[in-house]
Amino acid sequence: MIGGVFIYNHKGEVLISRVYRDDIGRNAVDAFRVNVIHARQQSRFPVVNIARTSFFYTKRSNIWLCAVAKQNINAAMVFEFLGKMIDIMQSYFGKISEENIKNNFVLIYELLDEILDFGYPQNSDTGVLKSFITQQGVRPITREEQTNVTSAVTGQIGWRREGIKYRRNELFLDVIESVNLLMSQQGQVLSTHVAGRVVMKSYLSGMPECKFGINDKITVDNRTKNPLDSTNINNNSTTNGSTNPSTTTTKTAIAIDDCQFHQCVKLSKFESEHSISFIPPDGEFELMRYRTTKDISLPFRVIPLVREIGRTKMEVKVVVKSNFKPTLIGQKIEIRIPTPSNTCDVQLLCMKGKAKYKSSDNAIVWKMKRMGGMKESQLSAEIELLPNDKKKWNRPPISMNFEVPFAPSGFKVRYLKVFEHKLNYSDSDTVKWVRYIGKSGLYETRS
Amino acid sequence: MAEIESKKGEIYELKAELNSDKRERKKEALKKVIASMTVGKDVSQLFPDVINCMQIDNLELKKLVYLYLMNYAKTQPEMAILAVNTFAKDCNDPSPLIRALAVRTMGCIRVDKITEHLCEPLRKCLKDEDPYVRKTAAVCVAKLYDINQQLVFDQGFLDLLKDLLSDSNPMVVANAVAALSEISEQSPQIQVFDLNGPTVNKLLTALNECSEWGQVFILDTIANYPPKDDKDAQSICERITPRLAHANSAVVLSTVKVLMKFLELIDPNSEFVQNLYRKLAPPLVTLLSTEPEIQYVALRNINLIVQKRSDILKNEMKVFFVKYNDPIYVKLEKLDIMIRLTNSNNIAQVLAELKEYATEVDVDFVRKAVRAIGRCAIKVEPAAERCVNTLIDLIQTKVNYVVQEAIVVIKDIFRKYPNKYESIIAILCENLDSLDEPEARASMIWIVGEYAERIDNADELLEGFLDGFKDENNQVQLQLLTAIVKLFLKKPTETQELVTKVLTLVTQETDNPDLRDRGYIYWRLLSTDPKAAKEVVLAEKPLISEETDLLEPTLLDELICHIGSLASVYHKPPNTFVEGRFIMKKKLPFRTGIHHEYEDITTMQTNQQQQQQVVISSNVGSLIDDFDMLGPMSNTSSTTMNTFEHTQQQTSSAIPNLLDDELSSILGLDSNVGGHQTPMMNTNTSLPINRLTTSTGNDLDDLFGDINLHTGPSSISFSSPNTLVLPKEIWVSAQKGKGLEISGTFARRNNQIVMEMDFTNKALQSMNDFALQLNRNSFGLTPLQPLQILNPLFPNQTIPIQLILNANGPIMKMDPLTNLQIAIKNNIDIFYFNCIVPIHILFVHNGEIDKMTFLQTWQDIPENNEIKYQLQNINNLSIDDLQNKLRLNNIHTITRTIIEQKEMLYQTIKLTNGIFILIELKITPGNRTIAFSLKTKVPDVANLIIQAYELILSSN
Repeated sequence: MIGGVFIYNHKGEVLISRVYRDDIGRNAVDAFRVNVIHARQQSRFPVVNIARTSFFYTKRSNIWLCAVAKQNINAAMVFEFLGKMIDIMQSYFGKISEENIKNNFVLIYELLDEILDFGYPQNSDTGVLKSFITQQGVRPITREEQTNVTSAVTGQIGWRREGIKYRRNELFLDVIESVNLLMSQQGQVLSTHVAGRVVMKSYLSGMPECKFGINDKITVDNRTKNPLDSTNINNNSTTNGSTNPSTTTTKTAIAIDDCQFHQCVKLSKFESEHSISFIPPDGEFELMRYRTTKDISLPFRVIPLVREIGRTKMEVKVVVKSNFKPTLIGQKIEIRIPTPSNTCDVQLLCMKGKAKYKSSDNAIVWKMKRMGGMKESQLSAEIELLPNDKKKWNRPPISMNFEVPFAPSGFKVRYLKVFEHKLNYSDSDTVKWVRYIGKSGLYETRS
Repeated sequence: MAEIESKKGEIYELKAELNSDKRERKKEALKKVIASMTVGKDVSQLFPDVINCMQIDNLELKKLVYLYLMNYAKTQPEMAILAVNTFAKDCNDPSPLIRALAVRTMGCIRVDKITEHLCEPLRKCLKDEDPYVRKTAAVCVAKLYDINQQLVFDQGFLDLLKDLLSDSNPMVVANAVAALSEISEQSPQIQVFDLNGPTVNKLLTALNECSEWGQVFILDTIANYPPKDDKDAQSICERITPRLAHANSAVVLSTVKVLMKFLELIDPNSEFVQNLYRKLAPPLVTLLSTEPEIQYVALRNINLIVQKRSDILKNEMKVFFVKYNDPIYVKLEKLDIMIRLTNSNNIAQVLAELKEYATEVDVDFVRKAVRAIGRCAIKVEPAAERCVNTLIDLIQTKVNYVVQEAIVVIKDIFRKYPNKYESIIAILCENLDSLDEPEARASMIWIVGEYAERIDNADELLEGFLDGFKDENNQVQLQLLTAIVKLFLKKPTETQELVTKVLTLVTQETDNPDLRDRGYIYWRLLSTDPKAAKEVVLAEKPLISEETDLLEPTLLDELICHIGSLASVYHKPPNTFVEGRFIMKKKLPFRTGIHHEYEDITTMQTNQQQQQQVVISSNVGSLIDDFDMLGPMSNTSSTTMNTFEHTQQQTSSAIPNLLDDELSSILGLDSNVGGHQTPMMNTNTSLPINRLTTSTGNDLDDLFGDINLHTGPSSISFSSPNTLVLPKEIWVSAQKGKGLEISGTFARRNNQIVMEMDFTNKALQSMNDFALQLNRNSFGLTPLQPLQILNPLFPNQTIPIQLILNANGPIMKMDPLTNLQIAIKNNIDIFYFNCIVPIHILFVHNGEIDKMTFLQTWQDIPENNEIKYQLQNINNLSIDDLQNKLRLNNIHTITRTIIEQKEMLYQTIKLTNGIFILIELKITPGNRTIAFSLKTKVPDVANLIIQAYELILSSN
């Protein structure tokens, strides 16, 4: 199991050092600094073995987080744990920075004592941790409260405490999709997939049981047996077009390649009945992650045209087409067109938005605040190059960022039902909000 | 000096603050102490002052004190005892959080005095009413075990811990499982943790309810459970499959581990397996959209999974396409997996991708991409041409490392498709000068040598290399030597000088023994029998395998058992990077389902065959050349016999006309060279020549002969105290067993059938992974437990093996009845053989029946079932001796009477399958012939019984 956890600043100074196991010597902390942080050649792997000790590390801004072990431990678990640790720290004190860590080191030690015991990860749910690691230094007053805490930490529903009360029961669902695309110069889709997340913010009293329905092919096929009304969702269509434009007319069900759920979801029930039921944690959490690869409506298409005119000149023309309903509007559009490192001057002309050559990034950055559906825009650039560059330019792909108000995969929330048997509120008393956001993941076109 | 002063001052100040009355000041001071501790300053002097703060009733402060204690207790054990009282008090605190904190911290203080005081509180906490305390106590047992194993046994903590497996709280169960697993891993010799069906059932129930980490602990433990049979394996698989949809990648990978392990036990053609394959792919793909570090772990594991069961991800090629922003470690792994998944359907896409990658910036990645193109060419024949063209394009970029890498793979392509792409040699030759890496140079030289007849200026090219011979890497030197010899054999007339030059160089001016020896061998060959030399050096090469860089199958199997763990990331077994304790080697379960027994072995066999054909192609060039020389050497023995003499003569005689005849001139070469050589050289050469004359051809035989002497065929018979045991006979000869010799016999010891074997390794490599199966047989003999050979069998080593058999297995009539078909597997192959089980081994001890029954049965069996025979009492045994001898072999005498001056013995035998055989022996005093008559309901066995009698009576 994990033998110790170290946190360093960018210089390699130790900010936090917590050793759990006797087999980790005091020199381990230095070994990592010398062999990885200060190493002349950047280490090429996220796990390194130095003198029979394995170091697992990751970097956030310029902070190094490192877990050490001497045994053959579960590597996936260690990295999952480091990720969880970062989440916890962020939710306690915000950004992971040297200053924040220094200011909160007592808290971090307290957390590390709780979430790792003898190197075994323990309950690491932020909500529950916050209920008893408060940095207030006051002991919980009543015994009852204490048992609440301990049963939350160890309980079957380790992610929610008892006795939560809200005057207004409300929940928000965000369907956030990132579209990933790799397109060849000729416009052929080399690979595309949507990585979707359903983020839920729940402000519900008691221990509500929720049932979540989506337009997944398998579930929809089962629907005839179990008809649940899909209209009882309050679509806040005024702010964000929540109805999914690409799916309303044509397809009703989508094929989900794979989905993964927050630990609150009863997986065995999903396997047997294909229903997603759970008791949600309080506040915000990621209910579900999914991945689709079929029938993705790509919101934008980038058509590049690069001509090298002689050794010192290049012409680049980039056309962007939006490919969604004209009534919808895409936002935060940014296209990055890489330029060779020996670029000396760039002349730009674009129909819409603003374009700039950023020499520090070796790229032309073209930004448009918004763009309607079924529109087209163009940028042309003349690039002058310095001669005598021996290296061949390897033409990195043109990448694009955007945000659109629909789910490119066609994912749709059909219902979310809330049942709370002990408290007297019903599903219809709950206010529900759904929002769809399509974002760019790695959206690249080779030039 | 000033610095020390100031440090002292700092400590002094902290001391004062720690002893302050104000809680806030105390707390601030403590924080400063901990901060100093973190950066490595020694604040141990403050020990007593910090301990004093323990009394304060503040949880946060308490935690800081404990943190300090854990760090410094070891350096100041005497002081640490001061804390014991507080711990004891805290363990009885009404707050479960405080109780747990106390027991958690105490476990981390490795001071004997503290540990002694830990036992009582720990026992109480293991039974605490609060699950939070219990789950902490469970882990504490593992801590205590790490400090003092004996204490854990003595205090009975293991049993308390096992009780927690049935706890109502899933987290307690999970921690107890984790603790038990760790303890049993530390002490594999003790049965700490009985992982049986009911326990696993409990764990599977807890699995659905516990935290993500708990699920990982439980799954990792279940992976060590050996399922009873395929049904058991299947039902566990069904119950854990939902975990594949968990958001935590560790849960997913641990689930995959259990599935991959248990799949071994399930019929691969069943629908269940096909379904599982379908379910496995998506979650594995999803792992690729996680954080890069986790992606890396996932990819390393996918690499293993693809090698073991390529079907699972066969349609998922695209997801392994490299993204521009992937970290380099992800890129390299993806590329590796892409190649493994390449086939004729997706080759076009893959090739287009690889071409893109070859223009990237990272040198390692580009190299790997270029190499991958070559691997595609070798793997997918229809695409070979396209691949070669791509490589040519890349060579024309003149990027140095791209060119070198391309040449290395082109060498392999030439090997795979002889006489197809040699037209590109000219292009390759253009780049000779830019090659500065040994591997590339060696590859280029190999190409020149191999195709010397097509390259007009091959001699010039090779001569060019020869100029800087001494500065070359060893690999290049060897290759150059071989290439020049090849060239000489192809164009003897023009290249004599060159070959002389290189042979002189390597035999006289190099210190490297490999090089020198190879030089001598070539020289001898050329000088004695040029024809043979041609056959040897220019021999046709075996095909190279399509797959490269595959893990060795036994290693792969072991790594599959470690999916998700560090071993799977390093692709190395744990004992190579974990120190200290003995680590149990994990093995995949072996499927022994009755119905599929033989089918299974045959599939195993085909796998094995496939694996055997694998030759790692990257080394092939030089390897083959080495074999070329060794292989047919014995053929040349007849001619080499008189080499020594020959050379002598040649040296003294005049130099023959070199150009007379191409081949005979080669013979002259030696003398030519000899003439120019220094005397010292002559003495040197005489040694190898002598050796050759005396032993060539028999060398290998001699080698084996020696081994035979050492081990000898084992013909020692165990002199048994009771049952007759035949001497071991050879069941599998070393020749048939590819170096494994098995001799064996059967015995009956303690009323059990024992198969006694000697395994002798007569091969040159060690053997491992033994397994044994018996085919169904007439008496239902099956092994009581599987064959267990823990250590590898080293060359020349013999190990005796005793395998207890029982007779409850499935039955199939064999011919002859006592025939037994055995299959033995090891890392080399599977061997099938027959042997005969002597029937007396099957006589059971309780075969006695009373007189009346005997009479009754005898009469019940019809006359024509009676079999008569004349036995010879060879050893002239007295009747008592005879009776005893038979009795020892479970032939029971029921009565003995005298009728008509003849001794009558009535005897019974009972076989393992319950068949009774009744025998009447009529012995005439003074006559060595015994009249034997036998009655049984199953007359088939009669002849065997007679044989058994003869055997027993004739034995000493």
